Amino acid sequence: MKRHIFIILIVLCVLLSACGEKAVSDPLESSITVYRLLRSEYQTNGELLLPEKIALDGADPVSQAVSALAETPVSDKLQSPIPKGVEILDAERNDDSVTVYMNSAYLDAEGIDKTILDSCITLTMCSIKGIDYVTICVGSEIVSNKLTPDDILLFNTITSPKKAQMRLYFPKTSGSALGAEYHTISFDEDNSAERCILDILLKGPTSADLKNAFPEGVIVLSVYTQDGVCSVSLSGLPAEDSVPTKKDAELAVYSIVNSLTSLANVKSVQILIDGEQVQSLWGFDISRPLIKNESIIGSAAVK
Amino acid sequence: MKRLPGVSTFTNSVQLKFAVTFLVLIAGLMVMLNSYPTIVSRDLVFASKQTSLQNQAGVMSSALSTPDELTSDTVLEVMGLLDLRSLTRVVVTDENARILYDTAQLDPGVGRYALFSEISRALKGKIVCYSVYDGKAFMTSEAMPIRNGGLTVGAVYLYEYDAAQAELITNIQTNLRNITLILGIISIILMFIFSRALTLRITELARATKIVSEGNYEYRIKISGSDELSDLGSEFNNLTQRLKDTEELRRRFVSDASHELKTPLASIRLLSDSIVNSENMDIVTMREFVTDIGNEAERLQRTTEKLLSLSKMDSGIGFMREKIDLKHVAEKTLHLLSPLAKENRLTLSAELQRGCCIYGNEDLIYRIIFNLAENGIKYNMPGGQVKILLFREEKSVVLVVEDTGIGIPEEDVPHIFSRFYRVDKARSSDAGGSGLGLSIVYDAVMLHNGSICFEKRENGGSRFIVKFPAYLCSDEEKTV
Repeated sequence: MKRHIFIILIVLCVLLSACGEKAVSDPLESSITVYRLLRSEYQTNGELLLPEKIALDGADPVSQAVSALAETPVSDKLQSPIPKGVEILDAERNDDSVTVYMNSAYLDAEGIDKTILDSCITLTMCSIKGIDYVTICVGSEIVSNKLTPDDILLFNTITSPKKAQMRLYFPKTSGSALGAEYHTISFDEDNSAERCILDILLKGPTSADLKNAFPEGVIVLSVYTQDGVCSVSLSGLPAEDSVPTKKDAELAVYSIVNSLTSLANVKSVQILIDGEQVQSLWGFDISRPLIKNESIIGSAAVK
Repeated sequence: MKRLPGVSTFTNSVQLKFAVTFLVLIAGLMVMLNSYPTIVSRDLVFASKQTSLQNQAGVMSSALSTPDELTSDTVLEVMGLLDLRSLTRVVVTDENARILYDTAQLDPGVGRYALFSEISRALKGKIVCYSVYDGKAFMTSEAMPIRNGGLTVGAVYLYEYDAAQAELITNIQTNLRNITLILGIISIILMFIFSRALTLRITELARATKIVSEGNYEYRIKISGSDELSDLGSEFNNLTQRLKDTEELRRRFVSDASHELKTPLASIRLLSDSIVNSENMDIVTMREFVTDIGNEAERLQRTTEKLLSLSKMDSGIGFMREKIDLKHVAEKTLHLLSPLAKENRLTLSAELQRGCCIYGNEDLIYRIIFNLAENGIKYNMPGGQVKILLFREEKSVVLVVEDTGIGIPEEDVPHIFSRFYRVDKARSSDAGGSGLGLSIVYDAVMLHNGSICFEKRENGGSRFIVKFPAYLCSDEEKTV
């Protein structure tokens, strides 16, 4: 049921943005989302972890996240994701990542329990503004490196053969990297999945942390996929000299490429301007088909 | 709060109550009809989905239980051999819930962690199946562990989105809804017609009662059918008929009574006027007139006395009751009447048994015997006979008064006990009759829970048979 509500909310958000209304910035900006484990009797709809927003009280958000993860939840439905004996000793923030130090009992955790623990730490830490990934260490030894929320599927994103939720990529407002956002894609014979993805990309994101990759007025002339290469023909692009930096161009191109290559049948993307193959877009080389670029996702530091 | 009279009669009417009851019943049945088959068929689909998905998951799970380590490549190789077309999504994970294989076309999650509750439970060794029906499709998910040498090395997750079965159920539901809607409308119309028909008859009864209570005793209800309402209607008609008869009787009694009182009063007025107006009236004539006035006054007195006793009997109060020996009363009456019999040259005889006791009022019993015997004497011919018999017959006391007189014409027999009814008008007035004698007898007998009947004697004359319930006195029982 919760999942349905979540889906409906997302659909509503998409609809709202379709009406031209930009999603207003989160009123709870000074809050984090803690992920905890649902007790097995409440895992009725495919959900395993339950997010819960908590307000920050001004102190260091990382240490507040650590204590929120460690404490026993108030609700009967939830339990702490940290197994018995395991402890979070410390957590330290470096720019856009957090390194979490665990006690040695962490090394004994294995299988699904370890995955749940890693996921809860990662999701919770990355809900702090500016944090993109998490590294987990025991002593000085790195056990799990560069965990991002992107690595975790919280529920079955495929609703029906013609409808699914998938991650679409938009440039972050900081302009340094791409951020992912879940959108509901529903397609049919008349309206392909590729077309649907591009429509959403041009409409823009719902999150305040992300921004539009292309200026208003850009339209998709055509989109078709052949032999794993998806050809996208854009039109209405502003002139080269009026434009943004080469970095902006790279982000815009990869927001299309990375989003479209999330489709199983698309291996690479060829971007055309007004139906013509061109050398570059705003100085970024698009003469050849481009494949997915994982390194541009999350943090610019990860190259 | 004031309401329109029409509205209030409708909201208070039997028809509305009837209609509401039936509406509730029909609504309940419709809800049943609409929900039950859907629930049952949905559960059936759930069960079949679970079985089929479990079978497929079982096949995959055992196919993947190879001694080799599970990797994306080995899984891909095995899954390539299986037919997965009916499934919307198939996910295979290793023991850390990392996805090794995913059939999703949109954003497949290979390499990521699948934190679905189904997979989490499967990795703990359980087989999980969930089925959801949202009105458009059946969404079934199934997860099963992959075991290798007693260890769980991974999990298979299947998801199926089935809109075809759901459409089938939706169609059934739509059909059922349409059918129930049509049936509902028909039954509501029929219910209104039937309830109207039923309540119309009740309304008709109420209207008839009102009409009759306003004084129109001629009104009758048309009876149709043979149910309780028809019975009620015919009872109503009977009641109205009796009301009408009683009313007629009362009216006739009042007019007869006033007529009876008017005649002697008019005579008295006429006679007294004659005396006042004639200046030279001789003493003999005057005496004659005054004697006539006296006679008329006496007649007036007799009539009023009889009327009084009749109305006293009508009200049925003020009569002391005690044990009476009828023989004793009859003897007294005979004694009183013997001068009259002698005057008319009649034989008055009696055969009276002993021990004929009843419980009643002596005055009334006396009047019964006296009136019957006096009638026998008055309407008789010189040399005739009047006979009184008294005897016991089982639990009754029987009094028979018979005469050899002029008898009663056949057509008058049904009316002889009616008030002011005279068989022979001329003769009765001469004999000083008022037409009340037999009425008094009848009422008095009824007051004693007795019965009276009249029959013709074989050789002319009449016979009255009166029966009273006998009073069983304790000393008599001793002798018996």
